[in-house]
Amino acid sequence: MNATRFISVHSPSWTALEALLKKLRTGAKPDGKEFRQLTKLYRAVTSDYSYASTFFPAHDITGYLNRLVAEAHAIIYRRRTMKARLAIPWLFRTVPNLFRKNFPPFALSLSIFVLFAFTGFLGAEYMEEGESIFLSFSLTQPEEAFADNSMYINQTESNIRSGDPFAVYDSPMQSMMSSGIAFHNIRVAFFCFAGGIFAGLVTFYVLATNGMMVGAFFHIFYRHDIIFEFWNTVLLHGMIELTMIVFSAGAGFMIARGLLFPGSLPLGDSLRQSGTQAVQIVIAIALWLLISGSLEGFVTGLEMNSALKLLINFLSFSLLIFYWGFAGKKKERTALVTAAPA
Amino acid sequence: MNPSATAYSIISIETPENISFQYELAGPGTRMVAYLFDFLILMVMMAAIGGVAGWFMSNWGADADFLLAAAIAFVSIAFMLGGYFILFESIMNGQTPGKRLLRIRVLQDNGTPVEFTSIVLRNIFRIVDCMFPFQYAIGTLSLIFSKETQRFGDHLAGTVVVKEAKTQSAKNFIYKDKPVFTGFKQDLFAEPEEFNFLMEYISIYKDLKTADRNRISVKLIRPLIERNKLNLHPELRSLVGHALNPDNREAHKAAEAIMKEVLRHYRNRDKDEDNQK
Repeated sequence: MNATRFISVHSPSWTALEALLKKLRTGAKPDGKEFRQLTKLYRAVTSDYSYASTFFPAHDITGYLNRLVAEAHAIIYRRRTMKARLAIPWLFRTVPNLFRKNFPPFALSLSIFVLFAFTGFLGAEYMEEGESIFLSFSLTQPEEAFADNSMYINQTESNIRSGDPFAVYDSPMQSMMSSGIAFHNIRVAFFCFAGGIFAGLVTFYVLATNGMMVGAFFHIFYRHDIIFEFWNTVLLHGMIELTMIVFSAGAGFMIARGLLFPGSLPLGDSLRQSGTQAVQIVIAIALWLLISGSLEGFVTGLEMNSALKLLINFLSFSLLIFYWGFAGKKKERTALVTAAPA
Repeated sequence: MNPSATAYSIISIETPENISFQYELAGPGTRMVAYLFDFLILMVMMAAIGGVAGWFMSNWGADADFLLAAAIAFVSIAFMLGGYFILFESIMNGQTPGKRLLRIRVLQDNGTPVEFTSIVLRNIFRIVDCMFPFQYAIGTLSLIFSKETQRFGDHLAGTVVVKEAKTQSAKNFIYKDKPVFTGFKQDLFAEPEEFNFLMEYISIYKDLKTADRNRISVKLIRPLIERNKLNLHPELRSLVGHALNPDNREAHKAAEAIMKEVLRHYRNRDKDEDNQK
């Protein structure tokens, strides 16, 4: 069969597929009849394509059929993951379960953070100029590490003396500040996460410097003997943020684990798998940071006594525990049972 | 044009039916230009929003605090967090305005439309691809050394950026392969390869000995005739008879006429195509 005859015999099914694809390209869903027609035409066109690429590889018709097959393939084998309907189960079932299934990297990141917080505290206690050294590991900004932070300490000190230790948080344009801070936090979370690709070293650096900074910051208040106030106020602003930064570092370590310990998978597949799992957790982290950041915009402006602060702290703590520790646990078990026979 | 014939670089995707089709990959330069366009659009958007917020601030004073907060939120999400790319790649099926302009698209490397998690992953990893010592240094290195021109984010998300093929219709091909011999009552069809041979033959025709000339003329013409045997016009049938006889001068004249016709047709067609481009 020559190309001309081939075209004239088979082109009716190509034009039919073209018409169907044109309709489906707008996002319309195929009904039952259309779908059967689509699969039938797809099979016909793929076989035409393989015939054409064998016998007329240089003919224009082969390129045309290649494009037709590619487009039909994209529609038939599409995974519809972007449905709004799936967002809620994904957020409250898939993500917490992913987190619990991949717990070791997160435990690692938490322990690194705590370890370096201790280091920062002890360093501030026993080293000369320790506080300013460790505070100079500017929170969450690796680019600005080692900047001069003595001003920050002096201001906090004078604030403590004047009776309002947390005046650094008060600023004339609070909603703007907190909006900026929330996005900055998300940026840092992304940085922690993406830094995992360097075998986790960048993630480790961000985590360690932040840990030391928090430790040194805590030391200022320890020195002035207002520890309870510290926990109550700093946690009000930072509990969710700090936890989320630590978790995003955990997601970074997930990628590092995929890179360093691919197991039986090829390296590329292992990276891809850990990346697609970790990024889902990171999306949830970004949502947490967004919500906590915008709430903070309101909270910061309010006058609060310590009992109310304690209550809010307790609430956000139990929310964290509930979501990351328990959400979606039961559903997963039943899903596993129903899935087993099939 | 079949991508495998001319592409700078292609990705071959195997379907469950054991047939592999190809996409042409977008090169580093194309992607860079698309990014520059996106960057420009983003800058214009941010300047506009900053201007509006600034105007309100200067007129309303501190009451417009929340507006500035919204502006900062927008700029942060769109620019710092890659929201611009995530939004457009999600709603435009793997394209951003810049990519649309350059006719390229993000695709999963198994040929299916790009998924949301992949979009987020590849755009978060812009942070890494943008890293030192200058903008996109790591990403560009990764692009150049990767087999499928992927940057780090693409490697992790399992995505590729491909060139969009121009949408064609089967009708074009039916029209294009219209009969080439119009001097007879029966239309004749021929293959591109045969025309290439014919053209080459015509170019050396005069240098050949008569015996060779006869032999080759017959060989070239016979398949054309046999293919159209089913419904052969009397005029052509006699031509077949002549052509099969190597000593017949009439047949050679006819063959030559046909070849000239073919040549003229193909030169015209090439000219038409060039004009269309």
